[in-house]
Amino acid sequence: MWYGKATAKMMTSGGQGVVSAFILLGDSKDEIDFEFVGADLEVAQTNFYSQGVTNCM
Amino acid sequence: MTDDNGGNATGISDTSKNYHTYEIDWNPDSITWSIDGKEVRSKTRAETWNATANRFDFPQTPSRVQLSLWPAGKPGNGEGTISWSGGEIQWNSPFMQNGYYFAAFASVDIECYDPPQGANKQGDSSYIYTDSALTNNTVEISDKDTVLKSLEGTGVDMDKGSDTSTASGSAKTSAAAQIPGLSGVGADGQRGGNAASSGGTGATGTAAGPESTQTGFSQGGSGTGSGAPPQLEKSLQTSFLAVVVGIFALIVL
Repeated sequence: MWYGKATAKMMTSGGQGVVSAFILLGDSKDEIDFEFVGADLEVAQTNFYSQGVTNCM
Repeated sequence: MTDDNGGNATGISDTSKNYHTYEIDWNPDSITWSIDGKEVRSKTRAETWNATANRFDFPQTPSRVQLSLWPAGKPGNGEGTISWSGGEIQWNSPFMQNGYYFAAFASVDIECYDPPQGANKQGDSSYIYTDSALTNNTVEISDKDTVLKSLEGTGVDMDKGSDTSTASGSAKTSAAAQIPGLSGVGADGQRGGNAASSGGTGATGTAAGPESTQTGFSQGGSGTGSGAPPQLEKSLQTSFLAVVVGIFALIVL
């Protein structure tokens, strides 16, 4: 997919150390994330990377 | 330096007991994350301008939709990764059923937008790079095949491990390396139906069916880090309940 909309209806895993992920990932290491840490069941973490690098401001 | 690309959405009702809808809307100039129909975060490409590097630190190249479950809390991972995930995995957890952790997907919907302005369009089937820089200006939309004949295949040896492979010394691939469902496709590797779709096609799975020679559950550390459980229901079709334990998927447009 090169630009678009991805929608997932999902239920995550609980449990510390276990991470559920619904992401877009390219061969260039571009990435757009929804990640869920099993230890925090009310939180969705969003993130993005360009060419594998996360922006430092 | 701190990781400034993180953004947490809080107050969601138990994500492990309730289905919620998570949406990523990716445009050339912005990304919007939404949960249950409400926007929780957005980022414009303009905000990511990096004057030092003279580029936008913004995702601008073709990407796969990936659903996964991964063991951040595996002993041996970096300390930061383990603590971020809440600690080492407990293998006697009430969150396990039938001997494994799981995430469940009721549906995955994908809507592809038109190629960006100025895209190098030479076909309709796949995205390739014309340069190892892997930047957005080196992307070409091509008609090249994307289906590997076995899990041993790579982009430069796509037939490796298949019955029809003619590479010298290649043996028939083991049951574990065969791609489920691939035996039904035509000799040229194209899947029936969607040859005209305008994006990357093909699916690779790490599922090991009942006929696999693998036994037991491999908890990481096995090469690519995606150990296959003894049983896995592999359907990712929309409106189908899928039990997912570490699965990578390329979704057809």
